[in-house]
Amino acid sequence: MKMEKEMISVLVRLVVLAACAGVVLGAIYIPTQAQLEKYKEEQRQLALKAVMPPGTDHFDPVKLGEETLYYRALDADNNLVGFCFFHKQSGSQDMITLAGGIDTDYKLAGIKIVAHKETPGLGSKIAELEFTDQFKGVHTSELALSKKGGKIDAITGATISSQAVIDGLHAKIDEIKGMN
Amino acid sequence: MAKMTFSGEIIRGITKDNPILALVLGLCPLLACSTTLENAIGMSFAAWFVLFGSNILVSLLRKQIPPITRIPMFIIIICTFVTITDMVMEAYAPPLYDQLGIFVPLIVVNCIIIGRAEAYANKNDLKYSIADAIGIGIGFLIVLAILGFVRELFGTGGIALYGFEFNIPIEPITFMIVPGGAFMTIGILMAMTNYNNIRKQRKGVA
Repeated sequence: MKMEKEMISVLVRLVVLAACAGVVLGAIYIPTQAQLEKYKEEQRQLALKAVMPPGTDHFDPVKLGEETLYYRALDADNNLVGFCFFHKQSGSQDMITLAGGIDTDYKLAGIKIVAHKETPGLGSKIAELEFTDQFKGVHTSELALSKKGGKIDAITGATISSQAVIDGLHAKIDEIKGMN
Repeated sequence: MAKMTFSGEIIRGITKDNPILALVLGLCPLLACSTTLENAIGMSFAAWFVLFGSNILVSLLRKQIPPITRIPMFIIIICTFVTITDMVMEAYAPPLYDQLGIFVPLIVVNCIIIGRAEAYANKNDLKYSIADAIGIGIGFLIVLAILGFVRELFGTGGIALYGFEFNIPIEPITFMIVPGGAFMTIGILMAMTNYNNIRKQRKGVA
């Protein structure tokens, strides 16, 4: 009997302590999560600014339900400068998240690899300026690897990763074209 | 044993019971987070906050904590503070969070914190437990900051701290940035402390 009582008191104490910890963490989770969302949004805005030409002032999200499909890039006088977007494309290892911007003639203004897990030393070079700078000023019709008649030089030993970036851009630009 | 005083307990944490140099605890975060001075300071404050919270709570609850489940209960308390630190740091100091990465959640298993809960806070009053947390925290901060300073200075050839910067005209020694450099630096620091202690003892005898 005594043993049982002791066990129960130990259990109760453990449960009470864990419950208190849960309440405290819950109370802190809410404000920090809100702040984190704000920070992520800021990072998104920075990434979009980086792929659009200077003079772009703000971005107007085009939404389908809750999901943001792409952004209309506007200058200070609310004139349409172009469109920019985030896109996830499967690369050779995992999803590649890229940001891209196009002007109203569907010419690429710039791209940026936001996140990827490609092979270090080979596919990982897609995030380097040497690769991404090639896309500046390229029209959608010329957007292909150079061996297929396009204007983009693939990274040696990382054709799949290079092709994935191009496929991702095409998919998203076609989507935007279809909606405008 | 000499009578305990609040300030005496603080000083004991920095010198005689210095977590790194005397107790040799918590070397893992020490190696990982002392590559730059800024990281070292960030890590010390994160660990300090957790130590402070856990020492206070363990000391307050020590009569409520049954001996057979003391370790799980310490861990729950420590986990709570670590998770708070983790969430707050991720939200309000994202660059630091990216740098420290996995080593923030790993404070849970930092032996300094559970060691102090078990060896000190569980047996002493709130007042002394606070003093112990302050002392051990300062001790940890000092060693980590020295290490971070030395490694960043020689490893990158300069110090960058919260926007303030200066450089020394040397070729960066990559060795100082890898863990080996940390071991060497901490070894030299320990040797210096031991040398000092032995000299003091000899003087006391003579």
